[in-house]
Amino acid sequence: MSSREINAKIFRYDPEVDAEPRFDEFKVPLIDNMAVLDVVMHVQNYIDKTLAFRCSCRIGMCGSCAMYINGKPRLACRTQVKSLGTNNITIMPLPNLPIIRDLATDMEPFFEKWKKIKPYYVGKSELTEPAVIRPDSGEREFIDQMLDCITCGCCYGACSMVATNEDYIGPAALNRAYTLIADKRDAIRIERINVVGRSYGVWRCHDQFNCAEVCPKKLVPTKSIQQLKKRCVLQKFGIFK
Amino acid sequence: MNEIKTDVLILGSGGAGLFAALHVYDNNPSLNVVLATKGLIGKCGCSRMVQGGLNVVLNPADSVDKHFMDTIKGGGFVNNQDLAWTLVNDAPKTVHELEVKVGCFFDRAEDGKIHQKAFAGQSFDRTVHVADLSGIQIIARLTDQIFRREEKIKVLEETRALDLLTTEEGDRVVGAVMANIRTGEIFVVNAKVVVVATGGAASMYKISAPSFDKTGDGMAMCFRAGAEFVDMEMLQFHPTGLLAGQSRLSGSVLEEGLRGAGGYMINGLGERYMERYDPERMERSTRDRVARAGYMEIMAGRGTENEGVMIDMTHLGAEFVEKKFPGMCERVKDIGKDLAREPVEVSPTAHFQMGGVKIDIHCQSSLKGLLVAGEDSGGVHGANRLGGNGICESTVFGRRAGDTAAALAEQEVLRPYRQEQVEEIKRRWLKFYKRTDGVDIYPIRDEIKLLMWEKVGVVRDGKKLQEAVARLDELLEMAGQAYVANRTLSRYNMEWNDIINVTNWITVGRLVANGALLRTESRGSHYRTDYVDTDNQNWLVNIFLKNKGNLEIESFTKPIVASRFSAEEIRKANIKY
Amino acid sequence: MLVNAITWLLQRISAALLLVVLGLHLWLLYVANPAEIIQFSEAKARLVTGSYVTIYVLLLLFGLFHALNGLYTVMVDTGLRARLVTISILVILGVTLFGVGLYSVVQFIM
Repeated sequence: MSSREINAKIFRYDPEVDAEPRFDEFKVPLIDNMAVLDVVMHVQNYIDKTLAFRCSCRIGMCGSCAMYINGKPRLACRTQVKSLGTNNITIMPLPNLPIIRDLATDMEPFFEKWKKIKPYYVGKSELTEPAVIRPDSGEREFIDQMLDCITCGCCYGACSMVATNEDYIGPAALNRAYTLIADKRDAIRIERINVVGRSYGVWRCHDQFNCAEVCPKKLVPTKSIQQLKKRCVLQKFGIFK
Repeated sequence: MNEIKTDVLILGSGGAGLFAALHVYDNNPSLNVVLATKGLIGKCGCSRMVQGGLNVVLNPADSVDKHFMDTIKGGGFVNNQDLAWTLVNDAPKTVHELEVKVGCFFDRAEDGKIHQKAFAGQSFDRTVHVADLSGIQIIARLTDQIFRREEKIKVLEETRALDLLTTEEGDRVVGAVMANIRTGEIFVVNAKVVVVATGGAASMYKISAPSFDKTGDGMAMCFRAGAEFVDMEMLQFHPTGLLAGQSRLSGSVLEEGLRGAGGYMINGLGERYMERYDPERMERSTRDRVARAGYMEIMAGRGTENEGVMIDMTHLGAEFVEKKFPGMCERVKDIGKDLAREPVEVSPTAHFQMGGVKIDIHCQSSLKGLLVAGEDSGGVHGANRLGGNGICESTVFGRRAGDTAAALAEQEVLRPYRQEQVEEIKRRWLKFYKRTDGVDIYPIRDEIKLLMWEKVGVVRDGKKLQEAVARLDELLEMAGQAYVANRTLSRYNMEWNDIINVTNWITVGRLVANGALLRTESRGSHYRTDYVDTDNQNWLVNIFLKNKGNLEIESFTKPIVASRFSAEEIRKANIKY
Repeated sequence: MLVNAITWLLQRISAALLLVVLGLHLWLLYVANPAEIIQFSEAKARLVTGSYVTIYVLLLLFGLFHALNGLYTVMVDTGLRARLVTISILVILGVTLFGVGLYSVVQFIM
């Protein structure tokens, strides 16, 4: 890391015209606090203007810039070049998703699955005022930890079960389902249980924790999925209502 | 060319756009809505980036009158009081809807009710929040609700509007020419009502907070279409933008709650410099003052090595800071600093435009069929916005825009657009593909950022403003000469998009600079060294700007809308702002 | 849905029980049994006792279920479509193998 220059190897592919993807290499000057997003922006702004990638907020809140950086799905904006421990950076699009062009992936399969679990809150009709829930009641402790999902798709790109089975809903959507199913304010929890309990749902997770390992928000979807499996079984025996 | 006919076209998927779509549907589920967004739905723009939270009166000991007074005081009394009153009155309903219907869950106080934290410039702790990254939850839950109504709300992602379509007379908007960023396809959306909610253009400053995709597109389109603008000189700098060298992390906001919780602002000499600028409120003074104070310290040579000042949280205890501000701690950690244990370098950062398209309380602009909500509209915040009133504005007025749009769409017929106007707009934006040589857009972009920062920035004067006005006109001309490197590549062409972005920046920048030149006094976030005093005798007025034709700017002034707290009372109160 | 939740649960239960029975089997054969080399005659002698027979029948049952259900899960993981057919084949296979095993055990008792 002594050199003041970065060797960026960037995946290039235009599905409309290219028969095969290729890698282009760029030399980028190293700056202080440089994030990988700075690297790709430098390349696009000043070296090769045709590079395509997606980003928006640049502070890890929007989840637009997930890429496969040095062998791991990460947010380009929250990945400091220094943290990679090398000046050689290989940047590829997020796995398990179709490619629009270069580093920009089509998130549609991810969101189609997200929609499958009915991600929207449906309040119980008797709840006409914000629920009174004391923070020390523990009722929301685990939900609140898992609510911070920014739908960046890192977990989806890292999950080997998503890679194996294209129908598998994947960690992010299941995690979202859990935050609703565990939310006592929600009116359609059983409907959701019936979705996540299908064969493309929780049963495809084999607790490999790939999702948790890459989550930039440090969520542990595996835990949520385990909770869901438990609830599916309990519901079968009529214990979870 | 493809064409979509719809009842309502909504541009933008922040708090305002999403809420507008929701309310159109909930008012009348038979109406068709097209919701177009430049990025992915709910992921682009700045509502998503909201950190602090949303101001709302929930506690019986608080009152909407207090919230109103805080808002107009904070706004240097040039707010449109009808709009400010609407804001504070609708906020409780909005938060109620967010919790009960949309499914947000704001942080709770010990008694199990919604917690409200301290923000600067307010007489009561009234900011509801989800830790220190509130926008994620508000926007994610709203987006989920859109998914529920997908049958009638057609979402077009990575689709930007290029320009609005108007009738022959020019007094009504009938749709927009759009570009699909992924495919490069140009098409028309013909609508009875268009809601513009794409956000401001503060990103045109060297150090700035907004997301990269937010480039004042809505405002620029509205200007070209002939809508009236108000308060364009008013652009807020947030006092605590992170300094991270040339990295694009620079300028990102460290949230207001840090000062609300008691953080100190210190200069390079270690002094709490707010003593010199607002001894009474110190760091909890309004954003305009704290930002300007920081800027002046830096200019006076009392800044840090990297031309910043510091925010110091250490005296509050590391554990407290880490618990209350986990998101901020993490972000600062990215640049190798520890917010809980050491002072962190910050700088004023361009953050928010108080000015924008003139609207009434129903979000109706000066053009028929054109509604504007959120940051693209002006008047709510006057000369300075309070922290926590931003997402409040987008959600409150987004709801209203949705209600109005539904009502209008029921009454109105779909009016035809003019094909020749479509062709003209296509020519305007596709010419960049036709050239083999021309101007590289990125140096222009870099120049604007610097120009705005130095000449239309925190501290202004007539001479610099005049220079800026002249240079911006030249830059607009130059941007028109731009070309793209690969002429045949229209799929996800970021360079072409940046040409449009930069053109829109300059368009909005011209309005800011011209407005600033006209206002010969200092007030709120508008501070001029050649007119340092606030002039309540002559300047309790708003400056209006509009396109005279050919992008020339026409201006006029009107007395402030003082329906609740009269200009006379303001003068008598003699509060210096 | 029903199949998924129940088989998932049974897979866990059978795994836990397998540990018990398999452990018992190993313990009886290698710890409790003083013999250096296991003789067929000894095995034959053990297999007439009721408790031993029960252990081995259970081992067979849990082992078969666990293995076949595991196989099925892996096939579904990799995108198996013809589920009913597969389940039928696996059930027939399981029942047959269980029958064969049972038959062998019964031979010792007879």
